[in-house]
Amino acid sequence: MRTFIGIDLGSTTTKAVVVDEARNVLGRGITNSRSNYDTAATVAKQEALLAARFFLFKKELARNGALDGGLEGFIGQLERDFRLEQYLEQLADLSQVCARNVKFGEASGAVTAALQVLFEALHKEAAALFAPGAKRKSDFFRDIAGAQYLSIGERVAKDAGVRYDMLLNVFDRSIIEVENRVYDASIKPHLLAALDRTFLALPDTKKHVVKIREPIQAVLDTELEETYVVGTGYGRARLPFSKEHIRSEILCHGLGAHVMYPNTATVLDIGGQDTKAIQVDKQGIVESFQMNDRCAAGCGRYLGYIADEMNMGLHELGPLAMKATKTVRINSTCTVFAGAELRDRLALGEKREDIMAGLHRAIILRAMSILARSGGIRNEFTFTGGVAKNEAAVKSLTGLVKENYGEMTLNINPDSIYTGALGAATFAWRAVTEEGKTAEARA
Amino acid sequence: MVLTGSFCEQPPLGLIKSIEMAGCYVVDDDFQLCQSWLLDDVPAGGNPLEELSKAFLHRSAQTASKYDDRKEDKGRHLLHQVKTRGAEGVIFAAASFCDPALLERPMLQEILARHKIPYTAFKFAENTGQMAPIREQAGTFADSIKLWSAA
Amino acid sequence: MSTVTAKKQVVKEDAMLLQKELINRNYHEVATAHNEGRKISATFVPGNLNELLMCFDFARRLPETDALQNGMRKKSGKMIMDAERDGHSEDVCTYVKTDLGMMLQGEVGPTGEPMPHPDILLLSYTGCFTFMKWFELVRQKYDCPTVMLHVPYQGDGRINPAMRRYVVDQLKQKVIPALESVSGVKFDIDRLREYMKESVKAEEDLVAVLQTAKQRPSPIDGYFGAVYYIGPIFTAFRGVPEATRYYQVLKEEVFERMRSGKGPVTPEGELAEEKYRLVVEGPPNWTSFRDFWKMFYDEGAVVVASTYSKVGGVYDFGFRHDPEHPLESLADYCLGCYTNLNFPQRIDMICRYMDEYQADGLLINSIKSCNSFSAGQLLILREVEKRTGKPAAFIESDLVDPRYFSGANIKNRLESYFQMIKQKRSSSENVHRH
Repeated sequence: MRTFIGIDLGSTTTKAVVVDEARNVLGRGITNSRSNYDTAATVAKQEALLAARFFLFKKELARNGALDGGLEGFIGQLERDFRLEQYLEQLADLSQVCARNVKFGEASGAVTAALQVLFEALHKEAAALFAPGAKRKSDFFRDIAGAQYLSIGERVAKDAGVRYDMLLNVFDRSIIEVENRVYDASIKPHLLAALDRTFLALPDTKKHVVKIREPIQAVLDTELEETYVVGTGYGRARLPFSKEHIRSEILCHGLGAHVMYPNTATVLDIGGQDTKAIQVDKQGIVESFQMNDRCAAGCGRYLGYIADEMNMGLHELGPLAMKATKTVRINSTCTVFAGAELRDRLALGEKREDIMAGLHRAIILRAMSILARSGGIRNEFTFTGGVAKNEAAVKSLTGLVKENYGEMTLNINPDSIYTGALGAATFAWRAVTEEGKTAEARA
Repeated sequence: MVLTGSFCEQPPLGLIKSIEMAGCYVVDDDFQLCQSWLLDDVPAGGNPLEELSKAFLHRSAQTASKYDDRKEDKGRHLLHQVKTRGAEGVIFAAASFCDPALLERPMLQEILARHKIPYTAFKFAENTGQMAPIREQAGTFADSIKLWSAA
Repeated sequence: MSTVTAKKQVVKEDAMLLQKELINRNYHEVATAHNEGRKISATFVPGNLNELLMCFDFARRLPETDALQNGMRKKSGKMIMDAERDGHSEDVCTYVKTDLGMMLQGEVGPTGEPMPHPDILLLSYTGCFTFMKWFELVRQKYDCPTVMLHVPYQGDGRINPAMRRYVVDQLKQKVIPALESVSGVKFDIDRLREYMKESVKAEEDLVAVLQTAKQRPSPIDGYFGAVYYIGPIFTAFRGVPEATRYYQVLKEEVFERMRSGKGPVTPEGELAEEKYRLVVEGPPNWTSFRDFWKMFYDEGAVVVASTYSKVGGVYDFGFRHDPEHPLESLADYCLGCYTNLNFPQRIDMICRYMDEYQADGLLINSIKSCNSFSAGQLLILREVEKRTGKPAAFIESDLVDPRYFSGANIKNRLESYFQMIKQKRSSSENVHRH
């Protein structure tokens, strides 16, 4: 089947969206933007295509009714099992690369032995990571494996009488190679292996083995033709596409917001390290825009630093801020001084949640300023980007918009981090369907 | 200290407080320049527009936003402030991007240096609450005067 | 694509070479002035009374152009940092800091030849407060005699007779006597008239050149190209026969391009396909000048008109120097420089350009250290968008401080802007069914 793909290379995460010929979204994929932009783009695209396959599994299985009632559960389990298979392969890969990177002279022998013990333990712990209900701070291999490695590694190092920092050093030197590897050939075998696991985990489903396997195999055998791909975002000039396949992130965000909410007139995107204010017309075409791309103050990265300073997860900042009972005025969102300002306030006796609320307000104030420069906020107002998932940021924005512009429809979508990629995918669709373009052969 | 910075209005209260907290008595300043522009009463008799114009031209305070016709006149007012108020130093506090204050500053500093009057300089952002660096700098300056003048 | 010999890497034309000669010769004149018994004057581009200064045989310096020359030769970065170490703020005009930084290194100019300190600073205060402080700083540090010409701001958007009289009185009572005293040459008003007659010819030709950009395609770039064209007339050469000759040659070259339907010559080569026509407000960046121009060239974008090319005098709305009333004419010239115009006038000029030069949109290059241009640019942007219905874009850089030019960010914004214009064009052709 023909698919149209948009890839958004952000500063923190890379997103991909796959749509079909009717412009239905089939799948979305996200991965951390890493040192190798090409890989990030490929991985994100793969994730999106994978999600598309799961979407199609669901559709086919729903059609033949083999899993009436248990469809969600089955798909959920299949996904977890698939992730587990993926993780195990990457873990094995990491183990090999780490073994190669042991260069500590006399200590090498001991370190190698310790690594073997460590990876055995990691392998054993793997299944629990993907058990139903398991909570993870992040879905990226680097983060999951890294966290496990750090905690188990400490124990192993002590028991083996080996220096912990040596084990860490090996990880640091190996992880980039592993995370920059593309495993697309493994997807089918992983899915089939995962299917076996799923049947084991859900023995009731075994009675319909054939009725389940067939549609899944059919979907796996269907070629998802990448009819046209459009890339956008930072680093987009380094995608392996020609200029024809690249669209500015402003245009992609504007169009993506329009596709999600056709009555959008103003878009605010607070990304990892920049903020964009975009005005679009009724067709989703950009009329004017302003960017703050010279300073990361008030952007996602700033929240990242704060999270680090507070030793919290990024997604925990919002909920904490919501508990505030007082407004603390934070005047500067300078990322460089984030830590100092935070400590200053804590030292003055302010409560963490109140400071958090103040920080969120400061970020939004900055965004309001850029919005004003771009031409104000017009109805309907769509808020996208990673920060849009933060409830405290949304609360602050809602209040300030009402205060300054009156009643307005504020559109926020939990999938808004994919706005740029969605816009890019739409451009891809338009390129073929409306402009009659064909994809160029890639080297 | 004399606090100078071509202040069109009153600077943030936090700035003034921080400087005083750091151990500096502000004995003269150039806050609210517009209010202190005219040096004496405008004569009530005669043509009011002419009298007002003459007052602005010939009897107005020396500030950074005016041109000093003679090189020798630069810094006269500041020196006068320091001498008559018994100040031991000058703090230059300019708002970020304030051209009059910032462009004038090197000339005034050179004159103070010639007259062996200590000074320190920093910028402040009008909407910031970050006064800690200013406290530190003003405090260090005050301490340095105490230490070095005692010697 | 090269129009000149193949061995030249950067494409140049005859006029360009002539201009380079003029500039180098002037630097040489300044370097040797004192040896020849001449005095050196310094003044600003906005309000430069070049014809008047020539009456006193001054060798003429324009510190702004020294700063931009240093910028283009990549020397300004160090000079700015030296000036900052010497106590000048990060926030202030980088022309000023480049000049002061250059002077800290001794009496050497951008070409490496000696550049002695000026014998007189003609401080023409023509709308830029920073420039006024600049010469105060130079006067203070290097003890240069200074004479100030106060040109009243066109606050009401017009020149009234009192303003003209005020400037003429200053010329008569202060400026001319000071120039006489320093140079030792007696003022001869007829000499001034002669120079002005020459100026008028150059002004005519310059305007003819600038207005060729009304054609489709435009044979010139009215920003990147124009800053070269305005060089002689805005600096030490207005009223000089060699400059008049330069403008004749330039006009012939440009008209020839126009007749052949050719696009402008750029350092990358001739622009083959004109895709976007822009009006640009704001000074250019000098330290990455060629890279910046290339971003336009790569997109097929031509600037058809700019406001910076009027900073040293507005000639395309009818003004000419008038030898019959030389002093009044000097006054009118100063009063009419772009930096001395109020906002409504600037907005009117831009809107007029957008219309007469058939521009697709407005681009504002906002200079970090230049409050003179930057203050109010967002207002200009909004107002022009409102009045013309055409899109405007906003990019940020600096004059000569290389630290404030981020090629990646500027390219990002420019590409987004061009794609935006392109999308708007195609959407008015297709109707998207959603």
